[in-house]
Amino acid sequence: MFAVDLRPLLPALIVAVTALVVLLAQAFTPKGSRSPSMGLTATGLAGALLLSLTMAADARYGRGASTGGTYVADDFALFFHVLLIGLALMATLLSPAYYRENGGERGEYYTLMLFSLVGMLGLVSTTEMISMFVALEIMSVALYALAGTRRDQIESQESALKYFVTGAFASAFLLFGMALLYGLSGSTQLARVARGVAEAGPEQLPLAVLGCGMLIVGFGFKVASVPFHMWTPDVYEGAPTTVTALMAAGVKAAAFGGFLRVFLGSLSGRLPDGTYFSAEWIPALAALAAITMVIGNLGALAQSNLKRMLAFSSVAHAGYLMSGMVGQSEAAGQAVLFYLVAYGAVNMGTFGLLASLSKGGREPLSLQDVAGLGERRPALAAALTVFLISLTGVPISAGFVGKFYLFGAAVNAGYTSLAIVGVLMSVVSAFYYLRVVVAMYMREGEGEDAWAVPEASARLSLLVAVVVTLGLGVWPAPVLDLARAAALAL
Amino acid sequence: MTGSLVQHAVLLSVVLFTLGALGVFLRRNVITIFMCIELMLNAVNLAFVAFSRSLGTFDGQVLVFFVMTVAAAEAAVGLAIVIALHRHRDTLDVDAFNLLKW
Repeated sequence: MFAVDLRPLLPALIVAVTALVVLLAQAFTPKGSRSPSMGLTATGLAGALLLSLTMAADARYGRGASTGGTYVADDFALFFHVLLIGLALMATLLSPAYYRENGGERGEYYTLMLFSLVGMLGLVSTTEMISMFVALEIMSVALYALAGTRRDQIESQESALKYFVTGAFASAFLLFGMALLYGLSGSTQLARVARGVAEAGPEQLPLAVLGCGMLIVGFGFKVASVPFHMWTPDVYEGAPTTVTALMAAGVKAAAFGGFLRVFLGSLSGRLPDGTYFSAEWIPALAALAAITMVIGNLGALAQSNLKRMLAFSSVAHAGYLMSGMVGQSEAAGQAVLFYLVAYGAVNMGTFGLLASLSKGGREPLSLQDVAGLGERRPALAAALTVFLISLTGVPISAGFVGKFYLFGAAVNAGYTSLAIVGVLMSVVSAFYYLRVVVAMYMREGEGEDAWAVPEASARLSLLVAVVVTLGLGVWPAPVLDLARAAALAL
Repeated sequence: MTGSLVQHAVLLSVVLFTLGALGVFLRRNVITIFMCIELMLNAVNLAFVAFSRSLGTFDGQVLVFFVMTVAAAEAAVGLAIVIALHRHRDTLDVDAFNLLKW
């Protein structure tokens, strides 16, 4: 009998069903009362998180299972499942207060967020190019709409349009790369593509290299690496802050998940002449990583808007992550995965904190807006300080451990210059991150207190971010081990 | 015979893809830019079908169906965004959408 193992799909299915329930619950809520969208979303996500953790615990519960060879629940996929569902849960807890202050809380918001999460989960779990494309699009199309959820605000609409045009453009490149690899190998299965590339003769190699290049362009857009980063500052600034948090933390992680699976997992095989195929794209990736770190950090220096500054910082971090990827080994995969956890928690915390301070449609966006925070909201100021020092990469924070491993991986692969650029640029980054800390503690706030008091759910989410950031900085070993196991599964 | 047909089809798809990509950069009307992206996607479809024929496997043809479906979904969301933006600003010229920049 031909039986299909559907266990790997279960967490994504739970998330998708939750999305539909949230939508229906809204339709059946009587006029005048509020639909329990946030509660339902949080419950569904908690269930999916619990299930992913259970699956990761033992092979009996589906660890290592595969749905027809196209959708797997290996350690790599489950690592990302826990990370991505956790991040979505944090974003959900941060959302209600933000939307109450800024108007427009609707059930669709949660539904779209959940659909986007389904795409992210698919992107990191699939080992086949059709599913990978569909998953990427599920993630992206939901996000285009999410970026424009504040319909009254023209900035939000403009950011949705820019995200949509650049995102669709990038998808076309990704797809063309897939077409070339398919033409070369005759299959859309990544494992067969890997074999096809490894057996490619000299006359077919250009096709493989071109396909690879197109895929790098496509993924480069999604992870926001220079020169495909133009959309990032505009979209991060215009989108509602909680959506920006999800984009910066979740989408980046999922896109890197797909990037790693395709490139480290499939496109680094040994060619007939004994050289490795990865030698064809590693130098290009290293060059991209270097300019991404430089332009991201210099761009951030010039910003006065905090969301824009963090957007350029997100570009810079794509550079750090790519410089880790250049290492190609399991240690490199481990470094990237660990850093994605650290970076995800920190970014969710930073954007979430800005979102939960917004009051009456006004968000703290400039340095002047956070001046005096240290005196009037000491706990929040301390949390923001923790996030910013982690982004800089100061010891005892997760960012330091993460960067240490990333640059270590680059050095081991012989790209010492890349690590030097990374460290120098981290020093530059201290200037614009610490400028915010200085404004919080050293500058007097003007006029009256214009910040909201974050409610309990938002505080819980921020607390988790702080605990993860400091916890991984002080005791990184457990997550490093998990990241290593996940990287080995590639 | 089939070999050269496939080569021609792939060449045509590369030309169409390049035209679409250039259009995205050179055109200023949002709808036209969107049509250029559709052109790129359909160029890819052509490549998939051509490869599928030459290789004798059906994966490529199946993928084309998915691409068309996804492109339709994308068009629905994209056009909705364009309409929402048009309500704020009575133009479809991308140069007019310049609130967000440094």
